[in-house]
Amino acid sequence: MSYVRIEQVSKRYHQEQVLKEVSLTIEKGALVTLLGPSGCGKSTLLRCIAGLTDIEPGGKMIVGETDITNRSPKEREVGMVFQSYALFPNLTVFDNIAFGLKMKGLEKRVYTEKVEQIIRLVDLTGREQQYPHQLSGGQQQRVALARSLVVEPKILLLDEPLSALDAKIRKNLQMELRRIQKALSITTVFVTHDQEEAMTVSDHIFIMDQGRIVQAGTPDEIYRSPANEFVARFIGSYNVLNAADWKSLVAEQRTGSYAVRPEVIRLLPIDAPDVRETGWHFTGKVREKTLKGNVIRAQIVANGIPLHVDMLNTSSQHDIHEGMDVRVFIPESECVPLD
Amino acid sequence: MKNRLLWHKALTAIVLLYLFIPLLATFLYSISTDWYRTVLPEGYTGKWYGELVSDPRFIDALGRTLFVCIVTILISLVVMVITVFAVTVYLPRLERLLQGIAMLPYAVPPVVTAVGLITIYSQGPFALSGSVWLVIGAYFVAILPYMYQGIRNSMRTVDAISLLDAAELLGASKLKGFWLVVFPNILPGVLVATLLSFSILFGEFVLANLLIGGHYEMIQVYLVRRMEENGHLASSIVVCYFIFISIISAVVLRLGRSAKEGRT
Repeated sequence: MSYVRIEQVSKRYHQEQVLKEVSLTIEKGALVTLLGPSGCGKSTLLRCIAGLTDIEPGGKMIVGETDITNRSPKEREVGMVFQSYALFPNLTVFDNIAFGLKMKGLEKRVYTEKVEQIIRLVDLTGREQQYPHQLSGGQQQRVALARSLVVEPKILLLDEPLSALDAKIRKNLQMELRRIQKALSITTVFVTHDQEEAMTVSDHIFIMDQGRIVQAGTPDEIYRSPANEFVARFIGSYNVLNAADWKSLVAEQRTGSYAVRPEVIRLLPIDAPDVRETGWHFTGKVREKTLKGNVIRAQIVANGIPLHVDMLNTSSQHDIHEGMDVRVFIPESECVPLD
Repeated sequence: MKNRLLWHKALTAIVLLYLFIPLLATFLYSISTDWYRTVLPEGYTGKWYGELVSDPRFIDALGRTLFVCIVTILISLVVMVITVFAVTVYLPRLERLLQGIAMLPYAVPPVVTAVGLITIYSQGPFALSGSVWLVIGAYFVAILPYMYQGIRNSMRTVDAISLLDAAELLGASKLKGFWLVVFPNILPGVLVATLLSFSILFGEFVLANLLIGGHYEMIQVYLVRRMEENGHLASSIVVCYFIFISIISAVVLRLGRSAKEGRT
């Protein structure tokens, strides 16, 4: 039985329908991500779960055995980390974290132990008496997390918690978050617009667009089998080719659109023999070559159709230059049909 | 490069001179015996200050002004903080209306306000004209824009709504959340608005004169009366005014700093 059930949740702001009868379920202890472009409704949905935003009548939200639809935020036992962290500037790290426990009426003796435990968990020992403005972004993030976790909420909501941080810290904290989430086995809903981040941390991803969930699945399922063109374009650097594109490219009639991942397209020297696999060979020109670190991305143009091709940065890729002609192979098995 | 810096310094120096020379001249006039024929005063004396301090009417006027200003500001603080909190948290749709109301005092010249108030309150159930409470009421409205803006901007700066959301999710009621987490952080901004309002009220002449004038002589009215008698005395009053406001500013700024709890 699912731990969290969101059923037919809708929300309207002025004339706009921001959430359109959204339904989803979450298993206990899982970390799921709401992924989508800006304005798709993911943050709104999160706020609805927290109770900070009301929903239209007809929707229902159940956490554990409890129907939280009509409960105030205080009563929902939901923890939330905001994009801006919302740390209390006038309180120390210790007092920020202890806030929720104080509100519950716990005595100092009792909550001090819990606060110290969570400070160790998020790796902030030694900073208890500092104020938020004295901490770095990553440290503030961890205080916000600790503050929400120490009250042992039923679910944890994270609203783009890592957006304000620089790339390196972000990567570290993604791992940290996952580690802490698994250690506490806490059901978590993560909101982000960064698909790489979503794939790194999630058990399950819900892709949202314009107030609806357009695909749900594990990171692998979504990446390898996008359901439609929107997901294909969003989740990776997919090449999306419709029937007309295929005709220009390989002079063959295909029905419908297909998505091809950049890493499955193979580039061969002009005089190389055919690859022994079902697929299509054709000639193209390398328009641009970009180094992305461990991946090299080439922009190829073949018969007027542009393609992205990704390769791992090994020594054999250095034979490919801008402006040269190459032989291109697309295996049939890797073409994902889209509806 | 060096020339440009010199130009900036020179410009700043000229502006500062322009602002301070009148004050300096006033100060000199307040300690001089005579000064109408020569570039600098003919003689120096402290007798004007002596006369001032020994005049009981001066002390009384000062006390009355302080009373009116402090009472007005206290009432305004309580009313405005509660109002801005209530509108921001419970009734965000009324924000525009509140903003409009708070800006109205700008549109009405003090003389018009005074005449209107006297007309309404000189008869009927609220015969307040001639009473100090009429002045307090008028003063409350006069500082409305400054108190409203100061409080509202403070709340925006600290992102009061997010803080309240966070506090609520952690189990605090809206009121408790406001008191523990929003109020301490908007305090510096609120204190600045208070100081600004105080300075404005302390120097406000039109309403003071027209609404009660000699019935309840405040420092502004006292100053004008003395000015007609003797320029030196008037100058010494102005200098006292200035020193007094400076002391208040220093105190409030110090308070504002310590209210930030640990911030340098």
